[in-house]
Amino acid sequence: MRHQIASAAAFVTLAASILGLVFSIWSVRHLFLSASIQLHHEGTIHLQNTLIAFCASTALFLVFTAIMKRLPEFAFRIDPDTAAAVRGLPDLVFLTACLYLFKLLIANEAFVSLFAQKDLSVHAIEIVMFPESNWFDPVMVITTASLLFLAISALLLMTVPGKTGNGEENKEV
Amino acid sequence: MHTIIVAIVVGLVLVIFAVTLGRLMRRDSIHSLKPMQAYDDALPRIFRGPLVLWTILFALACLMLLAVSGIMLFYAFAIFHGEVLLLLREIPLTTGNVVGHLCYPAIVLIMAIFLLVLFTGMTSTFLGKIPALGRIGLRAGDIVGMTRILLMLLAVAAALEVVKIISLASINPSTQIAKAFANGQARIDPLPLAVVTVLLFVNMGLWLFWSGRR
Repeated sequence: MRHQIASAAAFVTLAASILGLVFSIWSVRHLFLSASIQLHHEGTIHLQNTLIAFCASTALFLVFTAIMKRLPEFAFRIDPDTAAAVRGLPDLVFLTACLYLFKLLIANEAFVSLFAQKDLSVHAIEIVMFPESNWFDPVMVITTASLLFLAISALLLMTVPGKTGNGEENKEV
Repeated sequence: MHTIIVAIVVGLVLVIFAVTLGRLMRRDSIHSLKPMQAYDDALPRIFRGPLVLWTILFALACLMLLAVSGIMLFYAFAIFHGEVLLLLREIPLTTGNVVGHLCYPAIVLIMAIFLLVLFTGMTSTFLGKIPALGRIGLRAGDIVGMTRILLMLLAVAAALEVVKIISLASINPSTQIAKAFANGQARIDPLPLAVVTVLLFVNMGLWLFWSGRR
């Protein structure tokens, strides 16, 4: 039963990671097509969206790796370098959180800047995927969902016994 | 007509990307494409498709990050040139103007370096070492080391951003800082800015403290 739950969690985590990558590429696409890199705040905020989605997606992939690492029948197949990268998971989560705060900082600036005269500030706060809504922030939703997945996965990691990438019994939680 | 041209260009880029990736995989220039190889035999079939998709999307995202990094590098020098000309010819050469107008090119330059480090670190970790990067001296360690560098860069960028905000607010002739934030519409005040700034630096400080104790 635990094995099935862990497999399902791994699959969901991988799917969320793919979704994050798609969103990251979508933001880059918007950055290119709108040439908004030349608008100070908009371009920088699109860039932050890209980076947040990319880092969150990578963190989710590390969670996926960690879950697979704990499943005994797959553990010995995992590439040692990829398995070792799991220890960087908390760092990536920190980086994602800092990027999000940095984005908020830049978005805040949109209000004070001279560009705010053109009411760019409203557009800077909202995200390109939902241009009509200024109250719904998909990046916030994705980040929150990612953190939720991380928390759930971490709980699962603590409950599923397994081995390290080198095939040794792993006692650490 | 414009849409067709864009579609053709995007299509060509995607084809070139797919062909290049395929050739690199065949020649093993990218050593492993680790996620795919790591789970090759042992994994249930349901994971194989998503893993291949993840690897392709990840490689595409990395490629795009590298492209954006290059564009931002050129853009940083371009706007630096523009801002210097603006300062010398158009606006008074006051301290607030100089600081406010020179911070942004510096932030763009820092973010370009940020993207390059991120690209190098992520490709090294997940796609394997790329010999070409090693030859020009771009080697990344593990994720922990990469994140340390990235957070330092981000801290400098955030500090510059705060300086820029304060200088922009101070040179805005129409209002004092509180009014400038409200922009006549009372949407926001300096409090969120202070909260976000404090949170950002506390977050980084905690991470450095925690990271150093590991």
